[in-house]
Amino acid sequence: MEIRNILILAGKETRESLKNRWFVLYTVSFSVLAVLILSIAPGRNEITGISGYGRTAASLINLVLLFVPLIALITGSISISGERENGTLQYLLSHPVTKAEVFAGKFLGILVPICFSISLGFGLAGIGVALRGGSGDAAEFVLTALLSWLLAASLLSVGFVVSVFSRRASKAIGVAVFLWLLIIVLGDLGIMGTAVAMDLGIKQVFALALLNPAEVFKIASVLVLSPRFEILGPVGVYAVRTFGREGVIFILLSVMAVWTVIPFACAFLTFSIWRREES
Amino acid sequence: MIEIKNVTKSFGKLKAVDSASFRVEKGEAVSLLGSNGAGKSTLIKCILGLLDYSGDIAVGGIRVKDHPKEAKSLIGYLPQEPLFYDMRTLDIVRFFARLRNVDEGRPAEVLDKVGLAEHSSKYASELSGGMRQRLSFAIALLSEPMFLILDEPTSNLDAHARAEFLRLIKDYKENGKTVIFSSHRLDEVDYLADRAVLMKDGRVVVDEEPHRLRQTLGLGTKMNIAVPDEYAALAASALSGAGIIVHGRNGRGFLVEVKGGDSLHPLRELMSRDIPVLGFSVEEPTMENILEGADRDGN
Amino acid sequence: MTKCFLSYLYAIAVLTLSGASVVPAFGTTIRVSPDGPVSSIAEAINSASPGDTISVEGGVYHERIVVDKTLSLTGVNNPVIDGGGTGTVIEIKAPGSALKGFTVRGSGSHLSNEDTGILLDTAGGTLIEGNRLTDVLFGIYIKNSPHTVIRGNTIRGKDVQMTERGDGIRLWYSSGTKIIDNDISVIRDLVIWWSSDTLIKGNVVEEGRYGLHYMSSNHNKFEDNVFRNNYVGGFLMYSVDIQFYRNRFVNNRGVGTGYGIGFKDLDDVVASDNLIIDNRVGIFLDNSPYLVDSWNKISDNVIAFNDIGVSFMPSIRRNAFHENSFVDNDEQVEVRGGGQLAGNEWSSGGSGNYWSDYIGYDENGDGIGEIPYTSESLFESLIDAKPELRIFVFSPVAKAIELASRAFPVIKPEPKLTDEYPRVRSGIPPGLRTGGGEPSAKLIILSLSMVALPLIFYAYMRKS
Repeated sequence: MEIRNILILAGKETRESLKNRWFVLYTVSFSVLAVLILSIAPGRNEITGISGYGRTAASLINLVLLFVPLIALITGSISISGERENGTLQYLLSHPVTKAEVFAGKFLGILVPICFSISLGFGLAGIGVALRGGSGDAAEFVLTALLSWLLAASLLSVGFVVSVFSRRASKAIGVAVFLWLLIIVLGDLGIMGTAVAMDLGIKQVFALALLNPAEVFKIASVLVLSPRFEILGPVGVYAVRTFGREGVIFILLSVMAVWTVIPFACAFLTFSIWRREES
Repeated sequence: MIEIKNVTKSFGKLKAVDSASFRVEKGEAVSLLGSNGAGKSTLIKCILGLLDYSGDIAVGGIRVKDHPKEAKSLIGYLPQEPLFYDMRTLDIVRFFARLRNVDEGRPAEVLDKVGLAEHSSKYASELSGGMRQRLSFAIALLSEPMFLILDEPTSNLDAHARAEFLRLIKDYKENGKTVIFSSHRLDEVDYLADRAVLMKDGRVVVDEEPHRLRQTLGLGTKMNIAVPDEYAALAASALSGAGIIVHGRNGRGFLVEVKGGDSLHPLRELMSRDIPVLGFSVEEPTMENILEGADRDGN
Repeated sequence: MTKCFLSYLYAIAVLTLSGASVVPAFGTTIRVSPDGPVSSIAEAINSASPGDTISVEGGVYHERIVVDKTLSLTGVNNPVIDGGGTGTVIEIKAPGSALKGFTVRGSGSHLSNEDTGILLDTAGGTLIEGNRLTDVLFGIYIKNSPHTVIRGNTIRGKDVQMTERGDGIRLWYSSGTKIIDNDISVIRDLVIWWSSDTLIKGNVVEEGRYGLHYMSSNHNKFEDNVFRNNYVGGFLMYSVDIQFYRNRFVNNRGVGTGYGIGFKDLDDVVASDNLIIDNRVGIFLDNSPYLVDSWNKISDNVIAFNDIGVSFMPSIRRNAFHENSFVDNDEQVEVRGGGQLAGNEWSSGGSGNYWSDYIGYDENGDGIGEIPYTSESLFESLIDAKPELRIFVFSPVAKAIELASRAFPVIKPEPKLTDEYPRVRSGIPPGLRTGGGEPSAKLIILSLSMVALPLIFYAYMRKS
């Protein structure tokens, strides 16, 4: 693996993303919504010293949860499958690059623009809050943006898994949208249903919540944003009491890292070793 | 030098390439012939390391299986159906130039060489099939590779463009580079190839110099020779007597077949017997004839 | 009850004896100064007669003082009395005394000894005013000292773990006391037990455990106090006739508690014009009111930005919520254990409360929505019934569940409460709206770089 090649491939991928109208639409709408959230709930920002950044960021968490997984899953799912379907993948591989370089370059080249879109949205929203006299800890806001990057990375990995197993981009998108629904709504719904039906305890609910990368992101963001972890109810309090605040954040970050590394490795190995051929 | 030893590639039960072996020497141009599905493209993909195979392929002394990247860096490849990212022509070439680590100025140079300089700001989707073929060729030329592997390089070109294209390839060959190309057209084979490798059902059935191909396959040149009516009977017996196959008569002419490419033989035979020849036409064997010949040979 | 009454009688007796004023100012004045001739306060007290005034010059006095006769101690130029870190610094045992203008510091730190900055023991009618207490375990401890006035003191406790702290002010069997304009922080609680007819006004209690820890004290009034950043803003138990006006309960977020204000067995409460903001639970109601003929009247308050606006323990009745503004509480009203509320009142005389999540309209422009407000969130019902599920708050699944329950009324829960006359405008006092404060430079810089970074990157990628 040559870093040089990975960067060249990533650069091409990034340029293509920047020109992709869906990606531009995504970036613009994410940013606009992020800024709008401030104006929708003016009361929250008008009472300074009482509610500032924490509240705004909490609304942003919701926005991130809807947007970031969707774009990461979809772009990830068409990354390899799209080029395979176009036939450009094989042509690319006839040049002196390895499949590993192609894979890594694509991952990087897609992740970076997504992360920068997130940064743009958070930044614009932050300027809005600051200009209106919002207080709050700026560092926590940045940390939430960084957590969103992690979320993007983990779901992009999942998207790549979809991609390496799909021959057609349209099919891959379908699977990606289903996964998005699963991660954002259906998964949590399942856990809630199970928790009620089987009368699960605090520990089980916590363990189940850890299965979902989006849920993990949300819990981590709430913990990072403020001392408001009690808002997470008995499960949150149990977790913080048992593992300590740093401990819980460490666990959550580890889960997100696992959600990034394992699917990445699966997709990578499948693409570059197990299914070596591109016919 | 490209060395192909006992290469077999199966897709399920189908052997797309079956124990293929041949060598291409430095500076040589080799034509891969064969009907659709004979295994030419599959073999080319094996050379590029795009497919797994059994057997061995070495490019410039580098074993493809061990060092695919190094091997590929020696090869310029033109696929049968060139497909590109939807970027500007120049940007596409620049991208591959970076991957191959060649000079900044090289992309413009190769585009100029293939006559695409004026289209360099067009998007790939705006290019015609022929232009895309040339773009692909430009990319293949980028790093001035030792080997060019061209999969039906002229299939999308009109007559004029084809001539130009063939000249480019010939130039390249004359610079001492090695060329493997697959083709459907015998005239291209005659014009470019030092050797022709004929594949059928995945196997290499003929590996010959092009002009010996007809002979090897037992193919004759077909001629139509016109003589005055009163000499017809005489002519027929004379030709038969000289061992020339007479397929029949049409009007004033005879349809005959000459083995070994010596088209003058029946004419000489007739003239030595003072039979006047009013006119003649020569019909060279077509690729179809060759492929039919291969079929005959194979059966 | 009997004991309260006895203390009251005692206080009256003291007041009569000492000249009916809480500030006895007669007799001679003894000057104390580090330069002498009298350089120790204890020495001055020894030589003083009841009713004398001791005027203490600026300087540091390393001594612990017992005031065992009615005296007025006045600090001039901020004298410091330093207890040296053991025991109680000042103990006042005579009724009708006064202590003004001192800095009191360095009490001991033994909770079992109740080491205190200023201890009043059977010293009814005493005035403690304008003192500054630092590094004290208990701040001001008023024991069996009715009709005392504690005014304008600043109290900073020892910055140790909460379990090792003492109370900022402890009012103990001391009815008729006024606690006014004190600034109290880094302490455990402000305790008011067995002390009726008190006025608590204009105090700030911060960074403590219970901003107000209150029990068995009747007919008390709280006005213009701020209870901020404590575990619990205020918790009141077993009392009758408590009035709250214009207090602020802000950002009290203790784990497992975090009540802005909580009532247990509390009757005849009147709470108006209070701001209850950004607590875990704005108002917590446990078995209040307790008496069957009692109503609690909670009106004109702003209950905003709390995780839970008002939390009811099961089967709570007879609370009247009128003309309050419920603004953006993550859950406006919680019913512990799920189910519906019954027997409480959400409007009277055609006027209810403002609910920020009301989705009706006001057609005739009278400020009252034409459709009743109902609190019927399926997600909230779920977490009321199964609190563990609160971990999913802020997740899209919570919103999805609400949408589903609107789309399929079959799974719509019974409303927790119905406000027949919801107000369409909030009653947030204008003074509270302070938007457009100073822009935060740090925030602007960080946000600008978050915007600039991608833009620069995009520009670079476009160019090369």
